[in-house]
Amino acid sequence: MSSATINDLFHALTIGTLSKHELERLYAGLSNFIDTFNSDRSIKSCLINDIYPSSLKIDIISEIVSDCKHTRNFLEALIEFNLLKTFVDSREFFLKKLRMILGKIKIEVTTVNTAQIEKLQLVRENLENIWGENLEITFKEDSNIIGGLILQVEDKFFDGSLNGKINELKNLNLEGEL
Amino acid sequence: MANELDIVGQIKFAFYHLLNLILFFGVLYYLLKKPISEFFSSRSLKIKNEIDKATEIIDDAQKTYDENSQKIDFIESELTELRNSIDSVTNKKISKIIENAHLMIDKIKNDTTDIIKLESIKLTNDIHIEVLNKSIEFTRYELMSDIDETKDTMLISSFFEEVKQNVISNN
Repeated sequence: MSSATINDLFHALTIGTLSKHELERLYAGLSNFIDTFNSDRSIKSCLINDIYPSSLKIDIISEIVSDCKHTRNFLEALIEFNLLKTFVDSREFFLKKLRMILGKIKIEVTTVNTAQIEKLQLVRENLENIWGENLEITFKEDSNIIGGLILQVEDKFFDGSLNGKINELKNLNLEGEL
Repeated sequence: MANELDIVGQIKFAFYHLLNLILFFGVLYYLLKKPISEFFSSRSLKIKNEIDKATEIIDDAQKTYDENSQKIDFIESELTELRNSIDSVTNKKISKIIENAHLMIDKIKNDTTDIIKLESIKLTNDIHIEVLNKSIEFTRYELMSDIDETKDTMLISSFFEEVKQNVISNN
């Protein structure tokens, strides 16, 4: 019920009324808001708690997304309809929807070392070669993967790490045992 | 002569006395016949009644004795039957218990065999998994010490080739 209402608001915001540039800003604003929401516990508790007045929540949102009017309006509407928590719970769904509208693909790359700029550039080039230039790439460091890399492309998962190969071999061996 | 008189006198005397005696007995007979007869008759009747009663009591006692004997016989036969029934039930129960015990023993034996087999398989698997884990650990250690920039770049390039093929085939 609540989700459908968010869907309505989301549709009203995204279908036809905004230009691509504005949609890009909306996406950046929502991403920024969600990042802040996830990282700052006091903001999080204030926004999802009903004891705080809407005016305070709107002020907080205005501060977080001061540079994007549409994002601010959308979030204020959510607060007005008391749907912010529902939106936050299903944030990935709406961000993904926006990315689909924008033709953007989110890729999370896990490597052994994110300090190797040349290698990261090589990875970026390869990713653009496969999925085009409209990518949202984030790099994550994990020394446990030993070598290679892991890609999370939207819902798809590609494991090209040495640790993944080892685990694959291990699972094959275990299946053989059983 | 005097002797003769004496003898006659004696005979007379004896005769009178005898006569008196006969008369006495006659009177006595006349007077006592009826009461004595009645007395003996009533006594005889009484004795007869008592004999009848005694016979009746003896008959009753015999009857009771027979009945009791019959009952005792019946009870004895019932007891024998009961004893036989108890013996039969006991024997049946004992054989059932023994049968169950045998079944249980067989089941426990089979279960134990199965458990030993499963435990053996589990242990073998555990050993294999442990060996595998150690090998994996060793491989990981070897790879960590062996990997360098060039190899990592080659690995990444080859991985991207795979991903590209995968994406193309999916599209």
